Amino acid sequence: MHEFSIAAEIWGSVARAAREHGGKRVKAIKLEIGALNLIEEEQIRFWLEALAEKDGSAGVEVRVTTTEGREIKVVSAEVEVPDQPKVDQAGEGRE
Amino acid sequence: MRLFETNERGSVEIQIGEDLQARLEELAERNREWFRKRSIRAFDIAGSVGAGKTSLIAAMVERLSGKHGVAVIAGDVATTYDAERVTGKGARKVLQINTGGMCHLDAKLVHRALEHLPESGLDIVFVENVGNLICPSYFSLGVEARVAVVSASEGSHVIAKHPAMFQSADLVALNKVDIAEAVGVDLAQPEKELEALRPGMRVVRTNCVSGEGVDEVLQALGLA
Repeated sequence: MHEFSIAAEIWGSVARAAREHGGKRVKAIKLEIGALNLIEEEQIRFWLEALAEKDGSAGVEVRVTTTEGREIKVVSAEVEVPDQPKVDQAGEGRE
Repeated sequence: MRLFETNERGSVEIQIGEDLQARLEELAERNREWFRKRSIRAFDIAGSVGAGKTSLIAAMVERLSGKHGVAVIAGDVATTYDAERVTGKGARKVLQINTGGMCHLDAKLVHRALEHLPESGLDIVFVENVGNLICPSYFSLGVEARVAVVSASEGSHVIAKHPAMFQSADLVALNKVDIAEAVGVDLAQPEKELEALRPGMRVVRTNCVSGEGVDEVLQALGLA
């Protein structure tokens, strides 16, 4: 169950970021996981997919890069945003 | 709402850059600071289910409570059996953390428990980790030292099989020495394996029911 608690933390971080950005459905999650954590990648994938599905983001794509260290880094998330006005007309908040 | 340029899939890439291990390390540091400010010495007692963690804690509390203010934070997936076993041994406070399925304690769970400890009158805290020889190895709690409890009934090669736990420990209590012969374990074998993994590391043979070796554990931790 080690991986479940880590997946739950990762999903919490992703869902919070998506909410803050007015996002709707999370389509992909990019992670960097250090080999020293001895985390089973397939387990993380399985639990993240299950947690995402429960929160309305079924079919999320989980991309994991294995690094050398101890980090469990949530790099970024690809999020669907509803009724996005054209950025050119908005004039602010562009990143 | 913040606005972003969407890609061809109608979505945006949000940069998060959050390292969960770094966040837990920060929390462990906060715990360390919490103990330091109050001049409390804190220890993590880890090991398998049934190794004798609670028995060791109960025996230590019994010996220390006359001179010290001792608190115990007991972590388990469910129930309050462990807390009940320590209550009555003289601890000033016994708290039970139920992890609800999580296989280890982390700095966040310990930090939450610290808020429920008395503000004064404590100088020693024992944190009993969830019974597990694997997962707790990877999570520091912000305590001074970790005691790994391993019992003779876990077999001759339990140390070699679980290197991460013994790499993360500062002291090993080799418990249930009284039944070693009955279960066919030569206690020299796990000691040899520990020496190969952690040369010079202290191991104390204990029988936490009779009390054998408990004073030595306290001495090794600088508590006697």
